[in-house]
Amino acid sequence: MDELNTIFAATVTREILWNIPGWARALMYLLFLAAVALCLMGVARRVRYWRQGREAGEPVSLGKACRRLWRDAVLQVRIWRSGAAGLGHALVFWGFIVLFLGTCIVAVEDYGSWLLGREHLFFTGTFYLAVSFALEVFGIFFLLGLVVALSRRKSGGRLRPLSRPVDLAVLWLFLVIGLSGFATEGLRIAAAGGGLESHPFERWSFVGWWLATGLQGLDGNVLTTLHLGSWLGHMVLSMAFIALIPYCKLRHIFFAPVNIALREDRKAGRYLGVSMEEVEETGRYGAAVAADFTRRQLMSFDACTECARCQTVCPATATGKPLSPMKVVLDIAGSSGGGASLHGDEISPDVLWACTSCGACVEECPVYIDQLGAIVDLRRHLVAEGEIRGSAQAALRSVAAAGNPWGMPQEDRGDWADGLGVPTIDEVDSPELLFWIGCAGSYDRRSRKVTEAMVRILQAAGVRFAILGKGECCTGDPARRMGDEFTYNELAGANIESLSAASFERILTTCPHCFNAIRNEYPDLGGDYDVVHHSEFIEELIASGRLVLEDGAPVRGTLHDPCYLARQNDVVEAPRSVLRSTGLDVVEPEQSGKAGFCGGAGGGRMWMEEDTGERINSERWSQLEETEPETVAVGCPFCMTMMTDARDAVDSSVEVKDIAELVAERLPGSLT
Amino acid sequence: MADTLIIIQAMGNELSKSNLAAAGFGREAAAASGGAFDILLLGPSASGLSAAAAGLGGGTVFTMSSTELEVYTAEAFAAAAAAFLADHPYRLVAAATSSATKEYFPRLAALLDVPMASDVLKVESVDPQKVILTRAVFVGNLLATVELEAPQALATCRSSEFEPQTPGGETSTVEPVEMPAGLASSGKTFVGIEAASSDRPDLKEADIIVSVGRGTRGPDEGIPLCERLADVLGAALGATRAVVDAGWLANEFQIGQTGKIVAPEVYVAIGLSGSIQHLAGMRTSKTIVAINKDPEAPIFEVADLGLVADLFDAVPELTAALESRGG
Repeated sequence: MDELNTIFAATVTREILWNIPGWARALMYLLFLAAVALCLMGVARRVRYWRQGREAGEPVSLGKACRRLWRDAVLQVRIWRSGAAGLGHALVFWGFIVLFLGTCIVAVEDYGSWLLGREHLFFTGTFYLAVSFALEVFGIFFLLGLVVALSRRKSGGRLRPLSRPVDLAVLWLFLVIGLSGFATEGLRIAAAGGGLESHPFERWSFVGWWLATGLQGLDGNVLTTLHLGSWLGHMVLSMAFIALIPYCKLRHIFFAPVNIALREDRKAGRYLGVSMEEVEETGRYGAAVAADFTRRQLMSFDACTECARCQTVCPATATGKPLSPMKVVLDIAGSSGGGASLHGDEISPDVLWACTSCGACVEECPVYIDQLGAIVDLRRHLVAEGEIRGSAQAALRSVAAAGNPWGMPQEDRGDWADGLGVPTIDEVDSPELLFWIGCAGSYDRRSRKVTEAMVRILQAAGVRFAILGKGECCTGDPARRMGDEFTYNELAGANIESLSAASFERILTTCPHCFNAIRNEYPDLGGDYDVVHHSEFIEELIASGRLVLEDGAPVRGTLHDPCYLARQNDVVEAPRSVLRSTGLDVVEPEQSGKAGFCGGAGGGRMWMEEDTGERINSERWSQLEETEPETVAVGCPFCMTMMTDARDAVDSSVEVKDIAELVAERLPGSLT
Repeated sequence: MADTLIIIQAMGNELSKSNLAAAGFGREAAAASGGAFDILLLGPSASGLSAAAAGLGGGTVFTMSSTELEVYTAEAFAAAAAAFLADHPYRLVAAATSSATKEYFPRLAALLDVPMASDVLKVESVDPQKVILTRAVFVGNLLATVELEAPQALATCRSSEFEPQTPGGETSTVEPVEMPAGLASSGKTFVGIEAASSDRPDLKEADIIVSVGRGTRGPDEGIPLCERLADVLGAALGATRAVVDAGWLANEFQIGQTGKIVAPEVYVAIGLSGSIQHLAGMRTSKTIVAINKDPEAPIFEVADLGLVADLFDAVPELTAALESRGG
């Protein structure tokens, strides 16, 4: 029995590099050395490129890096969010990994047995069969994944990937490598050792075996010649692949895991600040050249897979603006570095000002590139250079001079509250809530109605609240999104001073932009507050029984998610739950929640002309109309303006109302 | 010895305020360098304006006009100025910030291969090695001191920051210069200007503005009614962004945050609700009159006189009443 096992173990294997003459082996080693050298040179060049960047940010702990790699490099959770892409990439990825391991096993066996002077090391018997079988299975996965990737490029669909020559070339390169691998195997099984009968165990290599049975009739010489040809093709293309990795989008194989593991831990709604002192010290403000980015940012741009998801979800790209977040990333990564300016025909002011700062690109990127952060850094440079003009500049000036973007008098800020019985903070001793009104809620006649509705809700629920009145000014959000850190710092500083002098438990606001700034960005300037959006607060009031709404006839409606609420701050369920309480039957549009489509007013776009392409708000409006709503609910004063304008432009009779207004309509005694 | 040259675009029949301020810049620069300044009048009215320019305190007033300078093109003006400067090497060459100098001064800087600072607020120093100027950056949040280290430098100056010189007695000598022929052959030919012709006053200068919103339902319905009213009042026509977006009126009519900002004596808002974007462009008007059928329209909150009515009835009636009174 032992003897049989020994014989069996000795025979169940294959001759590595069978039928490969010395010259071809020499060629393989030469090409391998050349490929690895080219690959390493390419990687070294990229690393040198990153190293010109600034050092900034906290290091990532090993445990965290491992958890991130597990989730997003191994399980690829973010890629799976789009099913077909997830499937295609997972098949190629796992196929690739196992085939690569298989090649490593063969190499270790070959050199190991040679070094130790043994005929075989471990690549025999059951292990040989198991590995052979696994390689067949994963080889098929690899090919299937490529077929998925190619067919996604043929079919339409919203998340359709790019089909430039380079994209197709990469897929076909893989496809030919995979197919030639199988062909080489089939030819070997058919020709080696006098044919199939000599090694029946090769049935485990079922694809190769199947090919071999088809090739059986051919002459032995023809088979060996074909085998050598197929092997050469497989080998040369594989070496070409290795050499190419750092020079094209394939570099994500190396750099995406690095970025996944080492990326900065920061919400897209929290920008990194620049202080006046820093600017005076370094003379640097924003990004003019590659070296103005951090090393981590420069590294992250190399993680780009060119999957184009960011530009597919970008409202600017979707409506024909010159901005593509992917192209910005690639243009930066492709710049020559050193003193070469990043700004020019490719990254033009029109490109940068087209961004609504909605963060859809950041949310969608499978490898965690922060396109928005890069765009803001580039915008800062434009602001420094005076490349901000017209109405955007006027709004910035108004924000800086008057404390609100419309240049309305600060004196009038609290006017809306006249006769409503709303106390200011100095009139109430430690109220439960400080109601932060915001500029739109204070001055914009339409948004004032929302403010007033919210006041009625608070009064009905018996909440002790107060407002800052004239002590409030713009949070600085528009200035910051437009790249003007100084105005932001000034306004935020003034507000933090007012807020810190007051005593209250929480801040309530109906504006997601104010909400985001106070919640995520004020802590960086020393202002730490508990802030809620009105949808969350109303949800709490209803849940605790403090607010009771009257039942009414159900209305079919939909919700336009504010980017700064849903995407940047994960508040997705609260507005829906509140709307359901008001009797609104919420029908979701295709793009909703964290994947919502921007209304077009963020990032300072509220104050800029939109004269290229389609209007973002009109595009969003037509998406919302597909749900056939009677009411479109919004939770943001800017969304209110954009959606109302878009509705009026098509003379629709659908109502656009804020969540607070819909709730106030259901307050006891409000229904008529 | 004059070391500063002020270039003035000589169009029309009087020197604009910004050009008088540019002479103020010249005076400051001359004081800083301990020298004097000259003026170059460039354009069709060069000789006509030379008498006035001669009273601005400069040393010499050069005049240059030719067929190529008859109408403004950046190519011709940059080429003419470069040709002049080839024979007259000034230390500092400046002009008032304007849409024209924004276009042709950078070209001139490139042609001469010299540094330039735009929209300068103050002259710090002028010496043979470098010129030091102050300009605003970060949307006016910071003042940057710019050093132009070159034997020759260019600048445009913000007119509000310099004392406009009042033309006094003629003290400068006037010297006509020939423009070398064929300079402006840039492949670009001037074809003509098609100015939007309107008998109505310009929005920025009008005492009365009749402004229309979406409620007018377009150029085939309410807008002609409002235009007639505007004509009777001698008013300019304005519009909201929605009207311009809908393509009912051209961009130049837009009033509001992203359009023109106006403050006439009387602002008649017809069929517009008064979004904050619009209010930001007109709220400082002396008297605001609003006609809207929606009594809830926010425009009524800023209006001094409000009429809740269908504009299709009210506007013709108002026009007829004004006509009968006028006639």
